[in-house]
Amino acid sequence: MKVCVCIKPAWEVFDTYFSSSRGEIDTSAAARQLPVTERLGIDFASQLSADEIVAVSWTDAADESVLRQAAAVGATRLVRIECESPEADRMDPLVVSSVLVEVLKSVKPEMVFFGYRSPEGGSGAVGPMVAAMLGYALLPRCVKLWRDGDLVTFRSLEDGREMSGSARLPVVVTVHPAAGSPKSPSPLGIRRAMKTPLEVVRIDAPRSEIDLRAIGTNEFKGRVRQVLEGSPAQMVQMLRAQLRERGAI
Amino acid sequence: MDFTLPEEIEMLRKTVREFVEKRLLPISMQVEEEDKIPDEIVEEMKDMGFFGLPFPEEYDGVGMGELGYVVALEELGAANAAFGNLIGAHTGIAGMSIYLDGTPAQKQKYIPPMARGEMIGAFALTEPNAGSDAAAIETTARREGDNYILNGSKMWITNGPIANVVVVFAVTDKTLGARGGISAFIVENTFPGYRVGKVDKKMGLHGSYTSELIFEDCVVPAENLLGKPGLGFVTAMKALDMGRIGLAAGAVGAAQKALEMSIQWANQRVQFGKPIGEQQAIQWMLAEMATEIHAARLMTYHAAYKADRGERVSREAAMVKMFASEMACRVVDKAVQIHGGTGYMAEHPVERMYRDARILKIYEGTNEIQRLVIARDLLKAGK
Repeated sequence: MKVCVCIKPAWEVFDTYFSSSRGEIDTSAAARQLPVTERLGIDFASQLSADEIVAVSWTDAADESVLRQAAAVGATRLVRIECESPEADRMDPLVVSSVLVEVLKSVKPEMVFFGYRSPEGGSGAVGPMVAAMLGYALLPRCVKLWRDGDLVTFRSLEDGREMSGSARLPVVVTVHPAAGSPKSPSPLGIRRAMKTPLEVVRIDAPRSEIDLRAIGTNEFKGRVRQVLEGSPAQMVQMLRAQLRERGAI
Repeated sequence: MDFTLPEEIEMLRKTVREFVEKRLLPISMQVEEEDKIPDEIVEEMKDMGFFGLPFPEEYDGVGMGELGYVVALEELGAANAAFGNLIGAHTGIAGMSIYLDGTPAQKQKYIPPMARGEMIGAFALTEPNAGSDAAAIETTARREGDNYILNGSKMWITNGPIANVVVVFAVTDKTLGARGGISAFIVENTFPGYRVGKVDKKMGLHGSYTSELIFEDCVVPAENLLGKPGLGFVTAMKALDMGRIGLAAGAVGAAQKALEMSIQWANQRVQFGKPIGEQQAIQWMLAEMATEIHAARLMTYHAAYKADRGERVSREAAMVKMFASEMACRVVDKAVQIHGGTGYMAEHPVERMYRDARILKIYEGTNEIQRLVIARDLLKAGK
């Protein structure tokens, strides 16, 4: 089984501090790190006996160490995405999803892991969007996973409540941090990581207009009646009208 | 000049730090009280590669060199001196003696199991009548056919009770003394005539085993002669150069931890209506501690960097051993002072660190011997 783990490089906050003398946040010692949820994703992949664990990240060459960290805890192949795109786009879940999907289509994994808030500005939307774009089932906020052939059973955590379910491969899994304490890298793992080949994949900037109506998860495909468009105020008005019409409010 | 550590060594530092915070610090007091590192922790350290950090991968090591090794020892030093001591005696001096002067066959036989932690190493030089005057050792080795027969005893040997393989120094020609009369041997604990003597009780370093080793007509195959006959003292000095850099790294790590605890305490402890950190007396102590640690760390990295380049480091190793060990003693003393009565209590880590630090000025060559090494090297270079 081939597994992809999509990695959002996070700031290592312990090396960042407020400099009272300069009155600003001093990030000179700050570095990017592999987030806990992505590390847990790699642990899940190892536990599910993945033959190949591909770590994928849209990041600058200067932050390649995040991918090396992934290799140190078990990733067997590293892919760094280069995409000429404004910095703001990297915070846009739709753009990030489109870029990742380009790469995932060529890698063809049977499972794709995301942190439950990755890899954009913390909206947690990229995993579900990628699932929709690829047509994979979505297993959200997972804390436990089991696999029997192509059937994946999961337990997830939503607002403190545990839920469970199952889906057939291929799947996208978003990992909840309550899944446990990730395996630590070892000195031997670091040595292996420095030798793991790192591919650089260049992707063209995503289309400026992406048709939201083309997106729907497996579950909800075909049930989309109307996509609300316009300013936030207009959308709120339209939503209120829809809900009133259906007697919801 | 670039002070940035290579990427893999930065990763190693973070990895060891995480391991120390998650696994070692929580059991630090347990190690102190039980005078033992739990077996499962030792096994974890083996699996992670801690026992083979500087050795090349062809010998199942991690291949991090001396620089990677000292960075790891620095982080381990923050937890409890016992962890660094276990690794230091095993890797830094025992394994390093074989790696530096062993034949290809000896290296192939001993370094891989040592790097994997399957064989624990010890370095046996000190004797009842030969401490700083290491050339005065009395343990003898005489050739009999295909074997050497060792007789004598060694004392205060770190890892002695748990070692499977010991690098032992013995007199092969009394007339030549240290200049051609001492040879090194690789002795396995299964060799006939080898036994562990009294296990020592120490002021500090609880959890690190130290004992006497006794050789009574101990039969050592001639192929286990390490290095050239009569040049064992050279092997010992080369290995000790490396060991001293590692020892300094542990001292830096312990001192750094003491500083961090002192800063935290200075911000939290209120006397005369304000945190004691606002008192100039405390500020000065913190400033001196941080400055000395910084200097010792740079000296340690520099010595390791030179060693990795294959340069001779005897003078630097002696300097950094002397400076870092004395620095650590001054820093932990100040840490106890800043903590006041709390720091004197047995349940507080700085009390343990104070006792642990004292040995740094004594073992792997007393600091008086380090001064001698430095001065002789200076005078020789000036001729």
